[in-house]
Amino acid sequence: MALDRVESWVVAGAAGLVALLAELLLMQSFVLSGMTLYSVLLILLLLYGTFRWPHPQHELLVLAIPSILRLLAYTLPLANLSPLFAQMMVSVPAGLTAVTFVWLLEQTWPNLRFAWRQLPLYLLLAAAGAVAGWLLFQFQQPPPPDTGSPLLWFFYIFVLVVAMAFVEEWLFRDIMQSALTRLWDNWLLAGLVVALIYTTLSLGLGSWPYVLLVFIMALALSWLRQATGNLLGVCVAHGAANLMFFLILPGLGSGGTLARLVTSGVLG
Amino acid sequence: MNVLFPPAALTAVRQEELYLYLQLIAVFTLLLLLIGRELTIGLKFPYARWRRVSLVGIVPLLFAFLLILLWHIIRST
Repeated sequence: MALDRVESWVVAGAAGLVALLAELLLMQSFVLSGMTLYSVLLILLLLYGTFRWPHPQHELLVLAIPSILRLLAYTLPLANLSPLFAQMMVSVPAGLTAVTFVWLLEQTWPNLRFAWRQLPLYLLLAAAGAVAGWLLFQFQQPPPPDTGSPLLWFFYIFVLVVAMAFVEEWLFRDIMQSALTRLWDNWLLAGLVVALIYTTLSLGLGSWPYVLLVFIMALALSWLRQATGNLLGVCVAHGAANLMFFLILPGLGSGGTLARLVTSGVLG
Repeated sequence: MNVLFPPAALTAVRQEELYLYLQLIAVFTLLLLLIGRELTIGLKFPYARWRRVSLVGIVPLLFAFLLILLWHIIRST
């Protein structure tokens, strides 16, 4: 039993290190090397899962999720699309990945049950997510989206909340965290590993303070997922952070200060 | 917070033919392993389990591959 545990840590650690190396290669524009490394990692993890089935170690298959996401992001022909539309295109096969994992690992579908008595909690989470988005914006400013038409606003809200926040939370905080918690019987360790993997994928997105902030938020979301037992709360918080970071603050201009927010009537 | 599609990927995918090739390799390696029983007789490879497990890689990659093919067909017409 102890040996199995050590084996799972070694496999998880090795997979994490290979993913980190692949991500660093992608950051340095060695795209083909990074993609090859991710492809090798994917095939090795699939083979590992095959040989370890039905032993609990097969849950480590979820560590293939970053490889699949990167293979999709770097191979789909999205060069002529806007970043947000590209996000939506990637989220479709990413959602398919989630469905396949749920089927294969016999997991439950994401729990998104809403109860009216919990409304204050969700409003609080939305506010916390918005503050998190504002904090992230202090370190990294995405380009303002084209918001010429009101229809575009609905499209952006759909992409940021459903295509990005929900699909990411489903893959990382639901499928990956549940599988690793089952394997190690320790949600804290599972949450830490999920947060580290999520942060590894965020390495190329901003400065070190930004990445550190993403790590802290990923840890908070892992805790929230465990504490609430459902995915709706984390989706609300993540969706609010995305709306604030990608849509509201860039839309307000480069300043994006709290004072501007209040005077623009967004908060008050 | 966004890990599905890093902005760097937007500029990287300009060499589309290269990535189409890479994805072809990834998809067909998986497909080959999926149906390659006759090629590796005697290795005691658990094919039944592999067929299930490899679907997590095949389903999204094959979908993306078909999307790329569609994109190329649309662009060339």
